[in-house]
Amino acid sequence: MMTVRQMKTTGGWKAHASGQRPAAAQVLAPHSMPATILNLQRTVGNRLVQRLVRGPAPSQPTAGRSRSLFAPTALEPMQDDGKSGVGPVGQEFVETAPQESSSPEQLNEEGLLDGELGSGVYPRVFTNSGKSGSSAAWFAGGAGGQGDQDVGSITVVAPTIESADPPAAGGTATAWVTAGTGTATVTRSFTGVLTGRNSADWYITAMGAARVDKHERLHIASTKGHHDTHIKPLETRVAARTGVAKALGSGATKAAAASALVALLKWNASITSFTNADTTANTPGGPVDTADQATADSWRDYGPRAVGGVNYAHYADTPPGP
Amino acid sequence: MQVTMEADRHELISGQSVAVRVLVLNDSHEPVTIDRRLLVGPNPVPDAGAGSALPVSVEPAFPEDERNLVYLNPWCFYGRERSWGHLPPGRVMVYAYLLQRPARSLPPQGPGEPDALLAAASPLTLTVRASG
Repeated sequence: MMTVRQMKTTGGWKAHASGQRPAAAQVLAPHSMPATILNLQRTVGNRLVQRLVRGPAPSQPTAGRSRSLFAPTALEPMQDDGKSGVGPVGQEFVETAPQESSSPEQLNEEGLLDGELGSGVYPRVFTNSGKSGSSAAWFAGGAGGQGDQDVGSITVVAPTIESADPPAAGGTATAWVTAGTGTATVTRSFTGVLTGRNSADWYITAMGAARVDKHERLHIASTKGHHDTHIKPLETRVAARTGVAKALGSGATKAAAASALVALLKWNASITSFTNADTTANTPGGPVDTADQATADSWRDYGPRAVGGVNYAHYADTPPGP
Repeated sequence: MQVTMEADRHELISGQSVAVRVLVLNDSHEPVTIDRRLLVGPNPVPDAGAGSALPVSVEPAFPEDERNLVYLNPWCFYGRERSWGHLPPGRVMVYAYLLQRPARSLPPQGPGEPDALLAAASPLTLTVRASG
């Protein structure tokens, strides 16, 4: 199985496959869905994409399995594909585990161990990787002065929900999240611009380059704010129900308990809210850019200038300039 | 005073260079002075999602105030040209404006303090097509 990884490009999406995070998948900003589908067809394959397009398949029999796995993920192709069937439960998808493996969630299609084989310790899910390097500014023909990840991107491992019928008639069914699932990781970093010559046309002073770094850190801070608003509470809800010891007791059947837990987690809504908010705020030319450009110390283009005997068409610096 | 803009092309292919000129015309019948530090632009702003706004265009200031003043006789103009070679595909709006007093906040479309604005050019639209 593959992970869809995305790299920020100017004005578009670029996806490539990677096998590094097998059970993880990226939730993409909603506005890019057509491109996403194409990317997914190339990476995770047509089978998953067809499921997305067709909607959920009819319920598959559980064939006597003692538990059911519920995967409450809005963007179904983003799920780990280690499943044997998908069927509807209310607005969610019910995922039934294959019979032939005792740990199906840890096996890939080739039967090899796969997925997040963690300790169950809850991970930190916002990573500020800071400045990853420097390159000529994007408007000078390079890749500098922009984020390394697409706005709205988040790597998720949908919670696997296990459930059990009441131990005795008249009792309460239980449902819980499998340890190591239900993680949503947001990583942000940026590429700064070069100090000095960025191209034959652009010269950016050290102050100007530092100002670009400051701007890119504003994007990271903005994303972290949206993460803390939408994802952190989700983490708390997942952690509170991870492991059988923290199972939610609800309903008379395991299906009812699982549905109650899905509703409690609000997984899909939280992920979607984050991607929407992050995309809106941090899209190029969006509110973060606009607000920063209105600040008094925003960088400016002081026009043509000779530096060290070299003529440049643009000399970018912070006020008061040269 | 009138502020206008003209471009050597309005449609281009990404990677092609485009030059935009801002002109400040003294449309009165009296000589006037303008301060070169108060002219902002041309400022290209790609459509949201296509690329971040480029830094706004200004000029270096001379240390002596009087050297920053430009004397314009009636129906004479002062101007500035800038060119860009790597505008992102899509629509790029270009703005320019003249201040009547210094302003600290200089967004590309107009000053952060609206009462600092003396005149603004009609925005100019560039259409940048993807290469290949």
